[in-house]
Amino acid sequence: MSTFLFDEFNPVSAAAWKQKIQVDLNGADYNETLLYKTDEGIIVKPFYTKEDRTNSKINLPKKGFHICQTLFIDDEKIANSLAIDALKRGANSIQFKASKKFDYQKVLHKIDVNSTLIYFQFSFLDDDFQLELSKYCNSENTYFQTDIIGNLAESGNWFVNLKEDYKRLEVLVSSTKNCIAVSGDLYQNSGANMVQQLAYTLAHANEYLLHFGKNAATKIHFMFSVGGNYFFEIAKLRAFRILWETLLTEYDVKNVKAHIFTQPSVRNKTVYDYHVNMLRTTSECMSAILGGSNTISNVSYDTIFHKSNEFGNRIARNQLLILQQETYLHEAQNFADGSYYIESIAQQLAEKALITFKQIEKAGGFLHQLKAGVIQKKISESALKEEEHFTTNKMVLVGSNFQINTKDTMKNNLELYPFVKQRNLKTLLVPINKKRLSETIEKERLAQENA
Amino acid sequence: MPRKSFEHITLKKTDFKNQHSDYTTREHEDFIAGIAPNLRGSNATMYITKPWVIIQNASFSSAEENNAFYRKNVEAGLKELFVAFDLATQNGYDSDHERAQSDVGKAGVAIDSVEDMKVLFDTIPLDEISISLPMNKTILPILAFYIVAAEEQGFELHQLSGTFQNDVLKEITSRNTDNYTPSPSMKIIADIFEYTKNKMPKFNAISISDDHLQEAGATAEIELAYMLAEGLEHIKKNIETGISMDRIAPKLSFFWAIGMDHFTEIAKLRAARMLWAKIVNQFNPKDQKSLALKIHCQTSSWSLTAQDPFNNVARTTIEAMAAVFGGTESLHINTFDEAIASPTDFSAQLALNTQLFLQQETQITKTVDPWAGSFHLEKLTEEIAHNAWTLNKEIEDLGGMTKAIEKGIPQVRIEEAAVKKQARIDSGKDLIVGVNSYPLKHEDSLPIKNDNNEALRKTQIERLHFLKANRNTLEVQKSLENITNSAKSGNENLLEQAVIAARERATLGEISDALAIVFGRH
Repeated sequence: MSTFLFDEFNPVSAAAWKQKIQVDLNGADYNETLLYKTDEGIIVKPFYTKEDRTNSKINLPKKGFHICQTLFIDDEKIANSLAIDALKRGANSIQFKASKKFDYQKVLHKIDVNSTLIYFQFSFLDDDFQLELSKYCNSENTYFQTDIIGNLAESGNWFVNLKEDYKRLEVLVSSTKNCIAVSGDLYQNSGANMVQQLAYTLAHANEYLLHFGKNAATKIHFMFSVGGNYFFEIAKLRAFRILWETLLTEYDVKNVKAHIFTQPSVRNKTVYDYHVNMLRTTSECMSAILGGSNTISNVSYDTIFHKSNEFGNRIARNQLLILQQETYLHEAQNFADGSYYIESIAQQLAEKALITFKQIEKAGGFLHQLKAGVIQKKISESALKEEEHFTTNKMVLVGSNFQINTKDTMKNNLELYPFVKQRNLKTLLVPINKKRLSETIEKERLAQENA
Repeated sequence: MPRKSFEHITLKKTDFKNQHSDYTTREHEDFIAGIAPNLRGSNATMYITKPWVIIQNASFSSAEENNAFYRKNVEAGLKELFVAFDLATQNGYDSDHERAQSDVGKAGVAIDSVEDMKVLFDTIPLDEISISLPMNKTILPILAFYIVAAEEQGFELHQLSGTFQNDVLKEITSRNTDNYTPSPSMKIIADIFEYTKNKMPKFNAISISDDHLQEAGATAEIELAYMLAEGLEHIKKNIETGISMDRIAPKLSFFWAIGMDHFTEIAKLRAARMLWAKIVNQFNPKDQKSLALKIHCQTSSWSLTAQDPFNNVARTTIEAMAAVFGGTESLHINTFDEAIASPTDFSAQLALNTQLFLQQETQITKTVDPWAGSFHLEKLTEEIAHNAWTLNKEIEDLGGMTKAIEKGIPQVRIEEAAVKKQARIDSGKDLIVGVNSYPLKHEDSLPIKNDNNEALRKTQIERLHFLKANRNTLEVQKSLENITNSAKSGNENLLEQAVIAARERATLGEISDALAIVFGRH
């Protein structure tokens, strides 16, 4: 443009802005009033300017995000018809979860596995079955969310034992694609802060790289959960891409983009005033898109206390459809490029996570620290800190510790037990528990309802 | 084998400077918040020190229901109330008028006299709560009722604060069907300005509203251009009467509807602040604050669907977020069932919860203009500012908004945009989930509110009879004649006269009629 439209106004420097704020503050302390310090130790400034741009290019997915429907396989025919229905109604990806082997021909009947992104997540490890299924699908777009370390972290036990788990995975790594996932979502849902989530996910993935070598790099993909902290979640996902590329450079692997599967967190979802969960998943899905996820599977507003149901699944899927079709965010994965604030936060998160990662590596690696209970301890410290913020209302969940609707009753509306279950199984190591923030309050309210 | 060492690694950095022509710093990025042209916000710290003001309207039919809703919302921290009046009231008819039969309680609350207004604001702390009133043909009796109701409930006039909404689309499409020809309506506005200036200084005189402009097909650029042109027209008229720019500016605010085109909407508000500063700057204000655009936003009602209404929960959330990222100072969020019925307690609470969720859970208030610098957003901001300025210039070259409307230019521009928009819908480029994209075969049933118009009308008529039987008819007559005489002579302040009539219990219809004798009804 030849002449600047706003020529009559002078440019203003960041220093002048700060000065203006100090005048406006009328004596109030700048740091005290305006700086926001997060649990990650990051200080959010009242404003960011072009000097805060990092100008670092992040390799983001080129095409738009995929809308995924998560389904549990109990009966193969039902799972198939639900999948086909979801695909007809806007999803272009399905995540199948299963706790036992199934007839995959039935499950995938009339589903084009080449054009549809399929994710399989099993709570068992059967290399023969996975191999067979992988061969059957024979598609770049089929992903197995198999994570022996994630399973160990969450359950406290190997599927079989260390040796056998690695042996079975070895079979898969040597002959199939997209066969390993790293469950970064576990750390988010159990209360790890973002730096921990990033560092643990990276260190977790590094265990696979060290064990299987650089050829595993293209076979690993990532699962993340995003919570309510809108811009930080966008920055977190971007930071992970920086970290993953950084790590792969060490293995001489170039041009491999992280494949990221994202879901809204369950940690901040509530039983009471559960419609607020719809608001939460909306902003979380936006963070997931703008953070550059490849695939997003939304969670239903009632996922913690209702069995999977048509209404909940539809509204969850429609939230993503609305974002895809009505908001002009269908190819928005790079819209955060250049954002002073997001780039600055992403860089800081990545830097801090890299430090934690190095500490873990120096101390013998992720698996070693997990066996020693160090990771668990760190996460529970973080989780406790967050719970304290919640108890003291420094952290708010609307309808749970703020604007409570005392008339809301839930005891007759619970199809599922919405709390952490006590586990009596003997475990090899202390498991990492997913826990929601509002559980204690909800137990008290339910008890009062019963009184 | 010893474990590989990672001690030495540093974050990989690929510079993307000069990679893509859009990835560039634009000139306007050197502007900040709180100093003109206020690209990044109307004040230097925005939501960190003061989050946007939460505003939730009610549109119940009876004054009692609205009052109950207001009370609840005020208790919950609401600071500004929007009042929507029913069609009968909007048209200047009492509820017992034969022409109003089917309009009582439609689209808002029925108000016939100061008594209804007193019910509407019963126990509402009017010294703390700001009122927003639509500036339409019955503004005079409505405002008079509000003033008298406040007085009789023990408030001093100088304590009252509020805003008048002036709808641009209405100006464009229906100026000729207005109750009063332009000059009487300007007389009314001038009298209101004078009255509020002297007695109710906290009543922000005008809010220019783009309600339904998007619905009519206008693009963000058109909206922006015409809203600002309308604002400019107000400035010019006031300056002609000798009011200084610095006294006009604090009384002008802009009321934007925010739709689903997320980043365009954010860019629209950022561009609006810059353009407004540019416009005001021509009048050499002494006070820097005069250059700051005052913004109120409402989530758009036209993006909501009657089909599968729970989809609207996401829509209103996304729109509200755009308003906030754009730097609105106050925000109204529509209820998700608005396309079907009046809000229920449940849907109103969910709309309020959306505000609270955004303020309390998402941490989006922690830094000013959080999306700034995004290459995508800054490009949009620049483009929208330029295109809107071109459209605005077209209006100014024709001699301002009024003249441009007479020549039919804004109508043509909106029509052109509407045709393009319709083509996008027809070709499936613009999709609406649940409507032309993945519609439901069977809609779920939703508990909705049915507005019982007949019962309300009966109550209103009974109240009118009681009112008329218990007032000093002679004094009422006198006060109404004074209104007519003032309208004729132009010597007395019309609002002053209307307040006197309201005190005497003259009705909305009577005051409207008294004005119509001189100004005509159509």
